[in-house]
Amino acid sequence: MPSRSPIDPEMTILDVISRHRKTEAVFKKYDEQAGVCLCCEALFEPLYRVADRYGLDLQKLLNDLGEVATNSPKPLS
Amino acid sequence: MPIELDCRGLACPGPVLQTKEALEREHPNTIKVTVDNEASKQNVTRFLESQNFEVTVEREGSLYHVIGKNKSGETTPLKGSAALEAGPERKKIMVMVATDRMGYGDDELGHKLLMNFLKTLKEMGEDLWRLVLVNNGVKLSIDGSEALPTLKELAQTGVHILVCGTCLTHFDLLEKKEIGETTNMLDIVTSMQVADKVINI
Repeated sequence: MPSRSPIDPEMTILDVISRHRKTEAVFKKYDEQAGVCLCCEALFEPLYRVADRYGLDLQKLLNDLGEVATNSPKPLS
Repeated sequence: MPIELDCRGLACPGPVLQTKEALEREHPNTIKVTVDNEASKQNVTRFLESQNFEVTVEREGSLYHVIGKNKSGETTPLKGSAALEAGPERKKIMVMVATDRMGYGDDELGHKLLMNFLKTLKEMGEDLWRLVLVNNGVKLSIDGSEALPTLKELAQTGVHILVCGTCLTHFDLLEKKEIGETTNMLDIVTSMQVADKVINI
């Protein structure tokens, strides 16, 4: 994970998307691999638990989210 | 001021985000969110409950009207995601029901006893935090169940009802569930860990 990433594994999917709206597309990208709509089934779960439950690579997920969040113009709240 | 959000046509997380933004912007005591899919209904309900709203859901055809009333009657700052895990400050009693009858011996008596048990649960007041239905217990949550009115009453008082998804699937009852949030073993174990007391029936 990049040292200055704004994404933390303890953040829930809702935390991430509400602060960085463009990250929704990242979660959508992972839906197929997870086999579910992550935003439907795991919106309130922390990322580490989402990765564990759905067999995702947590580090890669954090990297992908961090990259989009860092390049987003500004967090919403 | 009561506010209404029309979130028809929006998939998750859209309705929850709109609800969150409305709470941050307007601090309403009452909010009505209209959604048209099950996932949004459940997630908006769960979010509002985490923000100390008492939630009821009215169904109108394919639509769900999720109505939240602030329990304190006061506008309060938004709580973080930790509130979604633990809920408001109070003793947390989790009751896990793994059967549709209480005890062994006479099934008819056991059924009556369980109905009475569920009706009496409300005496726990706000300490009753979660009611988890597993194995045969999931049959209490389906269309036609005698327990349904009691469970709806409990849900309206803020009790979080979780229903085992694996069990519903096993009994082919997933489509017949009328109340509660479909859950999994991780949620159940996490609930046990967070609860102050777990009662198994």
